[in-house]
Amino acid sequence: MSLLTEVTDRIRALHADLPLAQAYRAGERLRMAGDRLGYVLDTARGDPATAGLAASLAHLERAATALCRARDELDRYLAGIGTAGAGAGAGAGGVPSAVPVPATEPVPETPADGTPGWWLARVGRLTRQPGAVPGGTGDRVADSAYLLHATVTRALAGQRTRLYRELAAAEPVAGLGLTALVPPVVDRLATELLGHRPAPGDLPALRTATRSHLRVLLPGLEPAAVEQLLARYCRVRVAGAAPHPVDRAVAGAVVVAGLLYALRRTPAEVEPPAPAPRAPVPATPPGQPSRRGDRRSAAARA
Amino acid sequence: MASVAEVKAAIETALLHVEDGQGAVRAASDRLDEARQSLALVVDGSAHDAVHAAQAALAQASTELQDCLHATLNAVESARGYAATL
Repeated sequence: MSLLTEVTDRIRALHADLPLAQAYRAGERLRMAGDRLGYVLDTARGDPATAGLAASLAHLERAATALCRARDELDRYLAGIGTAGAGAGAGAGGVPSAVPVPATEPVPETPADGTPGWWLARVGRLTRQPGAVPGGTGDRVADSAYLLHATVTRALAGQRTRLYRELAAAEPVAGLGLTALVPPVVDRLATELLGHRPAPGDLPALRTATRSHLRVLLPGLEPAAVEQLLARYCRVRVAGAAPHPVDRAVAGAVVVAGLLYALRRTPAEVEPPAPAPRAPVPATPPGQPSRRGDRRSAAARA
Repeated sequence: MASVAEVKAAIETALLHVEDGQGAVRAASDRLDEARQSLALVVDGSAHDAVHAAQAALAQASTELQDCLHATLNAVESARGYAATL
């Protein structure tokens, strides 16, 4: 290892270790406290501490912004000395907020194209994007294998907004189907990375390899859910509630992207198999072109 | 109809969240201190403006986290004082 490589690796490690996750957690707790005190204010007509908590949230927001700026400067430095950027912040789609989306975020109404509001709300909350279908398209992905490739491609490129769009444009059943597809892929990639199949002792290494991508691309994902998910891949049980099914599915795809990044691989590793030849579906108008072919839902094609 | 006990219970619950938040702020502050020290060692001798900008940003983040913590301490004190008057 050259001296320059060593410097680069240390800066990348610093980049990944900046405490944005703690800032998010603090923001979430302080917001909950503020909401509770707001209830007291309305009930008792007093104002014990809400102003102080509002001030603390403002400081926290500025701290998170400064951390993101530091991360960007480290990327710029690495680019300036001729090494690849640290990756985690590149193309992340702006400065994430230290103040999380409120837990009481209203579930969007089901859009005209039929995508359930709960699916849009959850993926919007995970990616901190508005819970609506961009462009209002009715052409939705119905194939989990295709969706895995699409989401990993976006995640690997650090494109949080486009990751959200891929998820929001998918059938929920295809999104939840990621849960079944991801574990064997993670097992294979983690085995390559570690030199052996992931075991309980490999949890820190897996955490390090995936932390940046999870943090940047899914800023709304609870740290506890991350731990649960990675622990499962390492065949270890940890205390706590199981992650939300949508969180588990979406985070799994981002974990795949993190492992590919660590291995310097491309999304071709999760290229979906070519669809098998099949008889034409009578309900589908012949000759209707589709960028994603028959991986789109029949309902969307009809 | 709200009772005084209910208001006090709500304040106590809020303070538990604040304590949790304070713990996260302290953890962030500790990790940030470590990051600043490590960065100072790694980039020792560098004159690159991005390095200085990164260090300045980390210093500002550290200050903001400390101010955040102080603000929460003031909030807790205010809330406890208010509860005591009920």
